[in-house]
Amino acid sequence: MRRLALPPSADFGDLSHAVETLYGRKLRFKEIRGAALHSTTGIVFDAPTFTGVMVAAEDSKYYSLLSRIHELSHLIIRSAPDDWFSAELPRPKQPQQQSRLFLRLCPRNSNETTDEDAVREEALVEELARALVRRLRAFESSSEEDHFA
Amino acid sequence: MIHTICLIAFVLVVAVRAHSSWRKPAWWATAFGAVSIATYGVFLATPAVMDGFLGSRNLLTLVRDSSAVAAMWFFHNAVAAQQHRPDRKLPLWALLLAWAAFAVPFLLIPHPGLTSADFVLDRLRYLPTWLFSTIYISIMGVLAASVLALLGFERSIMTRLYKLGIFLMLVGSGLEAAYLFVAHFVPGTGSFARDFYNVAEGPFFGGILIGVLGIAWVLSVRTFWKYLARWTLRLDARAHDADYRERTLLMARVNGWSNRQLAMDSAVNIRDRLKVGAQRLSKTDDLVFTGIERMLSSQLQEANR
Repeated sequence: MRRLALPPSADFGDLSHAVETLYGRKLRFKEIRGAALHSTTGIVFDAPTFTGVMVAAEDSKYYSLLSRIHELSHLIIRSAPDDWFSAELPRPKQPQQQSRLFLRLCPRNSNETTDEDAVREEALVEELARALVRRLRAFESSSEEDHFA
Repeated sequence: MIHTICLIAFVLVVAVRAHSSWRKPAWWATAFGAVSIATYGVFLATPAVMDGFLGSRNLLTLVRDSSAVAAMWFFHNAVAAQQHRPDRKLPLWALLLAWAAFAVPFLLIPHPGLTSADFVLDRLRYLPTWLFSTIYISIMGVLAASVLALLGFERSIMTRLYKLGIFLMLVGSGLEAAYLFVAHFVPGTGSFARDFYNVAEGPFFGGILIGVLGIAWVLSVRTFWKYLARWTLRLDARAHDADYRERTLLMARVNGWSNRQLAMDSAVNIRDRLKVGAQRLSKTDDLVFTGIERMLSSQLQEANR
């Protein structure tokens, strides 16, 4: 996470900019209504000129933020340089680059899939996403509380 | 009256924070503030009684002003730390110098006895009295202005309360300095000196009270989130094994999560399960949980303003 080089008290814009740079494509976000995503956090797709991230519009803002960051974390895992990973923490096997829709849909907190790599990627991505949310200005631990409470 | 309200506010934040925060400069600011205001009298310990212990030479006035300056010095450093400006922290020698700057003229005031609430008023014609009071109130004013500059443009509720409070203190200091100047230097202003002796009291102590409310506000927000986080974690733990709660609390402590971060983590787990029907909430739980989700979401808007 530190290698993303986010500015201090970063916001979502900073994070999505960092992922754009890493992934090398423009990102577009969209909230979709009425889609039966269930517990699937969101959908990422590569269009010819941009990469789209869709999350459910019905979700609370904090939840929707985590969903978007969850999808960004997939992109981070997919495109991070090899030296971000190690023998102890290898990159989960990625699907075929040629396929346009190459996101595995695997809800968190469920056991709908048994594909080992997919399960490991989801766990890793969710852990990264939550750490990133905690790193954002909105949920950073407040220095007000450190000093005055 | 305003002294009593300030004293109650100070004593409350000092007592509540004593256990967890006595190492922090902000706690020492409130402790010195409490000492300073307590010199106006606490129940049977009237100023005359307290000053009696110090030899009935009105040394209580010096104690009051010295602890007030110490309180502002600590508060200034607490704000500097909170704003990540260690370069703006004031050194200890600055506090000692400030004390000496008004203690020396104070000790030169002729006929310093007996204890009197009008100590300064009665002796304002002496130059050391004017010097003592003016140097003291100027130091308070400079510290207030410096804190105001440190607080900058941040707009949390705490900073707003601090800025309003400190601004009022600054106005009070200005009024006091102007009053002292007129009463000491302009001849024939005896009745003016008597009538306006307490002119700065309202804004000055009102400002102090608002500042203390700022600390009390942060304290209550933290306590509020602490309970919300525990509640959300309990709800989350229902879907896990028996020691999930303890494990999560330990992990949160080890990783230094705030209560809000902990609440968010549990809330996401709960919402995940609600979506697939793996957990059900009672009506009351659902109501509280929705409220928590709203607060977590409004956290985002606040941070982006």
